[in-house]
Amino acid sequence: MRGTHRGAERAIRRSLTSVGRNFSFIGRLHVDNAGSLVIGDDVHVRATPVRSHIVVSVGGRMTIGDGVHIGHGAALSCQSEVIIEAGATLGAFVMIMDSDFHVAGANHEVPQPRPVRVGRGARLGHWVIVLPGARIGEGAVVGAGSVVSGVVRAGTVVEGNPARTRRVESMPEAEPGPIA
Amino acid sequence: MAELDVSTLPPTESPTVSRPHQILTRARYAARFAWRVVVSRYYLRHCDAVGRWSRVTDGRPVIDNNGTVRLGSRIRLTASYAPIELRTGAHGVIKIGDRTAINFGCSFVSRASVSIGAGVNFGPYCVVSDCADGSVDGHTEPEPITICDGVWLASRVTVGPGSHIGEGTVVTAGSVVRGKLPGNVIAGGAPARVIRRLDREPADS
Repeated sequence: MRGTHRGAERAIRRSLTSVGRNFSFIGRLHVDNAGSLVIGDDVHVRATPVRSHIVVSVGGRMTIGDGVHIGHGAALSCQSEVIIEAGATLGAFVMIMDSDFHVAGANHEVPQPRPVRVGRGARLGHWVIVLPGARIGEGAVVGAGSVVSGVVRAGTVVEGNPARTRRVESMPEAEPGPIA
Repeated sequence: MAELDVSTLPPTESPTVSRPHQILTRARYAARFAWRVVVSRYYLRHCDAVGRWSRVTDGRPVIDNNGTVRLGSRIRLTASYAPIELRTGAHGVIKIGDRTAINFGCSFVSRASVSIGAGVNFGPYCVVSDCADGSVDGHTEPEPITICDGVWLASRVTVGPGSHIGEGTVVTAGSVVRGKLPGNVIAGGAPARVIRRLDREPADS
């Protein structure tokens, strides 16, 4: 692992709940796992030139599937459940959160987290923000800079803030499944 | 690992913490707090005024002050994963009110005036620039920005020249603000428009 001190790499691997074969990262990845963080086979995370961070709070469960690629500057935070299914690709500076951290109109209340799911083979462009409760379907493509807050049907291309469907790449076979 | 089945994973429970461990943890947090307040004086040395207990909780900010930067008290700058940038031109003024929290990657550029009220929350990667070119030695005409008390800007909100955001307003993630937003509303989009009014008064502003 280039650019990473061997001790730091060991510390990151130790903090993972479970990790598959060929997990690799470049740069100073920040992992803070107080819940469960499961990483599949062939996962690659970039953390250079800007650090990526993965924060799982107490009671949170984050699952990153096989062959997922995550760009640099990524900010993944999990308080309840975040699932990134196999083969998904996340561009640089992607932000995935399952909690708003604040309640609108009441700064010091803590909101209820809502699980997030990114479907199998979905592609998220650079600077995409995935808000709490979002479900991105299988093979969907989310354009750069979009903000996703609801359901993105499988095989569609969405763009914008808030993200709207631009076209359908393949016929959607099914709605994104319920969150386990 | 062929299939991800979360239901087979053991449930994660909050760990039980012993009393000595709890005391030790709190002592460690208190020591870290005190240390950060002290080192913040060094990190914020280029500001013209820094109030009591204002601190850089993590990382270090980039402060390029050619005008005036005045920080109130109990401000938190968290520059953990990306630096926070505060830049002023020769006539630029950045004023930040008490208890404002600024997250990593935020950028404030001023050639006229950027005035931020008390108890404002900035999400990560917000950009507040009172000149269209976002540079302290550009040639575009700067227009002052006012962000009132108790505003919450979510992740990656861009606030353009001449903007005015009313008291207690919430701006949703990824929005671009230009012009005037009233108080106590939720606004979003590019350019940001009012989505709905907030019923409750902000608890802290």
